[in-house]
Amino acid sequence: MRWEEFKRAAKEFLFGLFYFDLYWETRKEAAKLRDAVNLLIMGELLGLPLMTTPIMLRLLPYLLPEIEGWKQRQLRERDITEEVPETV
Amino acid sequence: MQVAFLETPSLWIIGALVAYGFAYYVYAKWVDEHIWEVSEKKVTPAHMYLDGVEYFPVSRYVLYGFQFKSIAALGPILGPFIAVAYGWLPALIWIVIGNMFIGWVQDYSTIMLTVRNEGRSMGPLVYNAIGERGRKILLAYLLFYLLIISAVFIYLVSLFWNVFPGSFIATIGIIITGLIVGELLYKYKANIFGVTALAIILTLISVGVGTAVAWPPKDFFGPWSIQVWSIILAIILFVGAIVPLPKFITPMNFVAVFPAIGGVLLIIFGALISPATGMKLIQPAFKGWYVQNVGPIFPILFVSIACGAISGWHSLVSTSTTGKQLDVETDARPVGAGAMLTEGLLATSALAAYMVVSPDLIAKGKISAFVNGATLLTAPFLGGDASKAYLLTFFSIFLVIYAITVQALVTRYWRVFSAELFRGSWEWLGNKYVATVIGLILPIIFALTGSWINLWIYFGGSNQLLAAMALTLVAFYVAKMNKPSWYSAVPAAFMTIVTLSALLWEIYTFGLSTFGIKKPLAKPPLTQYPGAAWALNALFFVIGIVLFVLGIYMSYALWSAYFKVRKGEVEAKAVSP
Repeated sequence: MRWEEFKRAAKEFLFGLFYFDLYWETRKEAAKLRDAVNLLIMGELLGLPLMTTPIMLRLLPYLLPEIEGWKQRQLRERDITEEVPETV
Repeated sequence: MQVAFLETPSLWIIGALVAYGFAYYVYAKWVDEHIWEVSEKKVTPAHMYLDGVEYFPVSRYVLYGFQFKSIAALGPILGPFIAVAYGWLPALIWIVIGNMFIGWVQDYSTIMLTVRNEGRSMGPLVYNAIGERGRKILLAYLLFYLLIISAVFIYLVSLFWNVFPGSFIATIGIIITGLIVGELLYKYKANIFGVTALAIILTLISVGVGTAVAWPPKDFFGPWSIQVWSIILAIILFVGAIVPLPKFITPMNFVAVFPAIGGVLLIIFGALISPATGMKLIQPAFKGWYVQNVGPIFPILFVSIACGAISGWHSLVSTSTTGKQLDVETDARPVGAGAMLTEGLLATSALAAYMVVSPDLIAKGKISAFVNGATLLTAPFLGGDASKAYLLTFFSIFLVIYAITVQALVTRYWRVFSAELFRGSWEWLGNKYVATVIGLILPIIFALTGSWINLWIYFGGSNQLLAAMALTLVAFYVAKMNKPSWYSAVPAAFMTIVTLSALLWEIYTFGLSTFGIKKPLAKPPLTQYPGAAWALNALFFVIGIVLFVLGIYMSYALWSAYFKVRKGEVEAKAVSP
């Protein structure tokens, strides 16, 4: 059991050391693109005159699981110091 | 055998390990339990604001690896090079003491600050403590600090390319590998482990080609070599700053992490087994209180080793990223304190690399000392003399790749920072292309003086001053929680005094040349143009004064806020919900 725990810890440490940065950056980039699509689809409901088409309305159900996270990302307090490069 | 053991760096590395163990298992544990009173039951921002992108809980082991990767850069590797000019003993003492009582305190506490303040980063935390003006001054301070960082790294990469023939080809090889990896990952959705294997193989081949071809020869561009290299580097950085992240910087940094972390692990291992490999200490333990062209041991020693003992930049990383992903509060100690103390081990091992090289190299200020030392430490278990040429290129590319990946991010950050700063007025200065060009030209101008030791001390001084601010901020919030704040306030006071003194020393140094008392600090070919050399020295003089004034303001405002809380003039209340 202890050996299993050690193996898991080592695996997770190596993931953090070598892959987590790439994983997170990719996740952030994907979120930026998704947020743009979300805005296109939901824009009219938010009062932006985007002339949303019925096709876009058909995409609305796919958006539902994302709405909470999207709302939080858009509304949360942001500061330029959050963007600092990690390594100096 | 015992004498041989005492004559090797390993004894000191093991001693440092014991000290770091004490700091982690005794001191940090006490602070964790008695001051912050961490609890697994308290909800962290990662759960409170879970959005899957910025906020999401991450395992402590993953976060520890990520935090270490994020904070371990050139600071702990190059800093000891300047410090060892006073002898290895003062450098070792500062690394150990700095890590034990200051370094982890800042990294751990700033993570806790974010966790207990709803995931807020440094800017809003400063705003809450000293108001909008304080936050703006912090941003202005960071702007000048970014300039200094850029000047240091642009100069260092240009210098490495010039000094180590072959490192340029290897760098280009790694950049091309990054581009290939980016396409494979993002366009063709290739398997990550296959791509990793390919990246490592291509990186090793790049180093091999660099070693075999060793082109261009040293001083390829004549007396203007470093200046020409800096322009070539600026072109690469310009591209990195304006193209989308997944196209260039993200995959390049992903590829670079393997040689960078690989090099770090090799150096630590080499230093630990030095009794078996026969590497002996040949640097004197103590050389003197004052070193020509560097300065007095106080305050220079404490700012020359920045990230290896304490670094203000870590507080920005801790508050902007790590604090938002902490699963439970009890993870803050292994992640914040653990990663910083591991970085302390890296700084100690880098110091070991300088302990085994000729004192002449250090005395002459030859930056190649690290490359030589690292090669001496690692060659015995990596093939002996046959591998030395390859290892020399590897460790030179190790330095280059660290500096270039950091600088690519810093240049990009400068652009984003400028866009934010000039929103509403002088917007053209925040334009994508204009900001990037300014963010590259200014550091190149600074780097023209060729005085990298002075640049490094400015960098170390301003970086450590940021640490002093972060520690004071921590003391403010801890006092607000009605808890003993001395554990952060005492290091904060020490760092404030040290860093302001170091900045004053550099202002004095450049002041002497600005007012004609001494010759301007300059290296060929700038020495042929005394007017330009003087102007650059005067510019440094002014930059130093600006950094000093901004630093004084921030220190005054933060300390005033702290004492107001202590006197009960500000309502003391628990910060945690």
